[in-house]
Amino acid sequence: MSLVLAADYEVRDFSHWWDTVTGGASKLPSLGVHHLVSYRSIENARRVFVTLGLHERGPIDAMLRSPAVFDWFNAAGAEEIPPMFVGQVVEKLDLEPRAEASGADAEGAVIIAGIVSVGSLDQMLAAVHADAGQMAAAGVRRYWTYRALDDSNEAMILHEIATSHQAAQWLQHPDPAAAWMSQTGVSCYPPLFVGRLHQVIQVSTQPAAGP
Amino acid sequence: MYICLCLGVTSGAVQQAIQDGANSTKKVAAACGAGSVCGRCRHTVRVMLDAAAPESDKRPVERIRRRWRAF
Repeated sequence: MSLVLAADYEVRDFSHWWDTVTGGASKLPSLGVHHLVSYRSIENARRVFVTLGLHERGPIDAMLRSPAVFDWFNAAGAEEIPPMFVGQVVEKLDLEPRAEASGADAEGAVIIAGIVSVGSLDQMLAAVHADAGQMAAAGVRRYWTYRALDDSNEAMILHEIATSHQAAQWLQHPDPAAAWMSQTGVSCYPPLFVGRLHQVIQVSTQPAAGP
Repeated sequence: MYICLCLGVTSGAVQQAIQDGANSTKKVAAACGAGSVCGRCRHTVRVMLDAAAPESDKRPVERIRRRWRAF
């Protein structure tokens, strides 16, 4: 089973932080991590949104308290540990053909991400499907939804908007399917993240040693 | 959301502790464990306590909204 971990936080020095992340990449396979994706905020150059894709190898609690996770935050100079989303993908909705959506033309795309309690995730997804045409017309290229392991109504939603202009319009006048954006920033949930893809690291995982 | 990585305490457990009457980080730690080991999640617990507090007890908004910083 593949899991996704995500955290939203600020770093003192983005370049230094990224150097420590890449410098510590060799530890990621021990956690079962196969992908690391970093996003950088448009509004605050020190704010990052990081997702880790990993193969589940045992109880998530044991993984979270492993020294490698704390080393990860220590390397970034973290004094406070941010809340972490742990979940699984529910749906990756691509609203335009992948051949057109990927590659160089995606450089300008804006990522809007949020972790929220959505009430009923199934109802939200039904609204997304009903609004898919309007969302595509508004510039939404992808709409990826993840469900939290610890709370079936908690979701992480990442959606990609084609241009900054369309993203600004979307933020001011979202479709009902994105009404959750107004619920971000409550209690332990981070405020809405608006940024761009920074890097994707594919981690080579060694196959388990045989007998 | 996982709030306390040391003990794997979720936001649901912290919220339940607050609903059951814990109104400080020490009481939350005693009730569910969050913040009782390394203490690096106490900022999040404080944010949750502030969010749950009656309006008259809330701290200044700029402190509540401070994001999690890696420094």
